[in-house]
Amino acid sequence: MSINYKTFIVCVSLICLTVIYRANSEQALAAPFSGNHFIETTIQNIEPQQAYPKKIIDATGFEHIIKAPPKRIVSTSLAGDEILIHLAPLNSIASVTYLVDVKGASTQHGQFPKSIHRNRANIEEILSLTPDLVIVASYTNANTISLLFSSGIPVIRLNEAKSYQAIEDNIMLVAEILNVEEKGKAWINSMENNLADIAKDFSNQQKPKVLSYDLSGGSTGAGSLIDAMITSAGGINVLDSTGIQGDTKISQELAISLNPDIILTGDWQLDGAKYFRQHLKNSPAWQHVNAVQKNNIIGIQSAWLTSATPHRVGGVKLLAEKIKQWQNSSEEHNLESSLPKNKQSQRTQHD
Amino acid sequence: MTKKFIGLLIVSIALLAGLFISSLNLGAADISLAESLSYIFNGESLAPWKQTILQEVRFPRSLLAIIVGASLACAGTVLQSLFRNPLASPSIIGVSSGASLGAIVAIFLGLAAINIWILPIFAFIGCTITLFLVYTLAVQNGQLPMGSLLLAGVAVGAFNTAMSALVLALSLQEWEVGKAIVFWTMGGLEGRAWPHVFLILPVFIFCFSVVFAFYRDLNILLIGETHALSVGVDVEKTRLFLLGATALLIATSISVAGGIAFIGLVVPHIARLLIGNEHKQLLPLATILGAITLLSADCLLRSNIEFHRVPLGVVTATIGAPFFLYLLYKQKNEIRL
Repeated sequence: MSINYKTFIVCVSLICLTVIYRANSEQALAAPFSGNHFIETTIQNIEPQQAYPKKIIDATGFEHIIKAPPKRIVSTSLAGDEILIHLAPLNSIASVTYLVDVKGASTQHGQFPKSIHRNRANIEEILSLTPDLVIVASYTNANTISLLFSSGIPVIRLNEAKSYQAIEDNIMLVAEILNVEEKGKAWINSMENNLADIAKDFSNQQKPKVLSYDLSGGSTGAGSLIDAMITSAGGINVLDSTGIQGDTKISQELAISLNPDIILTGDWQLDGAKYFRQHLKNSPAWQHVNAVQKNNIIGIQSAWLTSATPHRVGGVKLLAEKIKQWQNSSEEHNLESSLPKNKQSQRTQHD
Repeated sequence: MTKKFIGLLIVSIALLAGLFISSLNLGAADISLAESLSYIFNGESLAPWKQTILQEVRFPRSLLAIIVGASLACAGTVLQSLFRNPLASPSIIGVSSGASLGAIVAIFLGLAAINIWILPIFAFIGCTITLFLVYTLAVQNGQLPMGSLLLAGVAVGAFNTAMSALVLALSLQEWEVGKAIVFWTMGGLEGRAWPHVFLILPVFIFCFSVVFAFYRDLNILLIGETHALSVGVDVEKTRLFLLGATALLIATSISVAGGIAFIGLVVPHIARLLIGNEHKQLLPLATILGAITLLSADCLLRSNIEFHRVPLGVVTATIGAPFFLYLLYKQKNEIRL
């Protein structure tokens, strides 16, 4: 074999350089899904005082002008589905995700007419629907978005919903493009009012330590919607004290040592929380944890814990009710503890 | 060239061409075969969305399945001959785990979503660093003993796998990132486009040419190193060239298609059972069979939208393993290296 060793090295280096050169010359295709540096879609009105045309500017610099309200909107994320059903006329929704029919995933299960197409965010499926607007999630595949751009289809990206503010931003983004800002604001106000009403009930109450936890050790710290939910419902996310942020996996030892008053778990399947409750009750390691001793293990249908729209307030209400029960029983307990012993025994006989 | 080889080559190329044309008709969107064929061969215009799907989705995806399958099978054939070990596969020198680690880091850092070139570049860097480490650890007094190379490959590969597991564990805090990593490691061609073809095609042509140029040396190396040295083969240089070329093939394949098992391990054996150990015939046949296997697997996934979550690597193993066992049963004693 007479191939020169140096020639081989030169060829390999040339391939590497070509790849690196192409990498630099290619246009960026998608925004990062990391919450640290997400870049939003922005919308500009081209003519002042006129609703349309509007310019959609993507994080990657891709611009698209829409001249009239979209009539064939495709949503590829559950949050997009739930926002659309609230803000857009039904006849303008061409497709929503199949998740809207999954009871454990969608709070709006059963609300979407069967006539609306269900998609699995497959690029061929999306293109074949000939949409005039596609709503994608922050984590949608870069290649899918690239193909949508190259096909001249306007795309708006929803922010990753890690706070109520992110939910509001997403609603206003869709509202702006559909020219229904007032409707969007009204929905946001209703969410804020509901949250304020819940907060009123707990202003001077004792706050329980709540731990979001599941059988695989999944939990949630600060900087997440679950954390915001617990706070809004009148509890304290016990994981905040550890400095752990976001969705995470914690050890059983840490979960037990935090000694939560209430354990919150998502109920994906029918009776899933029941088995979780039994598991904790039967496990010797958990016997001294307040939540297990007092049977305060709460299972809430997962859709209420994962919704990235104002429908999440429904989950906050459910949690708030449970926290209220805990507070009432706690008050009773404290009252009983403060009563003289003879009165306590009288009361027990009376009961 | 034997008549058997020419016959097998014609049949496999015809099969590959048939599969390729059929693959253009498979996907979530409803585009008939007649429409696809008239668009490709007669240039008849279709609805713009149909043209986009054919041009930008199906065509590059099918081409990628062919090139990735061919690359993995070619690399596996060379490694099995080089190591004279029937269990040698792209993972044996740790290169595939290095490429995987690089790609996983790119996804974890959120860089893979910024630009579609980032992930392949990270995979390639991971592969190159691994190859450099393995080579540095294995080389002794300018010589490259096979035993040391294998051990260094296994050790560095294990380290890479551990690091990948660590990154995956950390990434599970961000569910979507964790999910992207898990699906990527299981392999797939969903969403791949022309830039991926442009990345892998020149590498494949270059590396296959290099590997094929060494077919005589591979034949001689199969007999043994002492014999190879006695007939004038520069064993060290040959190994270096072949390892470099296979590493490139593996790195680019993994960088565009994720972790696809089975093809690099079993397809070369199937080709050996069909044609024997003459590398002038074995290399092209194994390469085409690799392409057929991966394209068939991808066609299966594309045939039903419900299958889109099934990893491609799972399909290749599910289709190929029973077929391989059948061949093994029929020709019990014929697998020799």
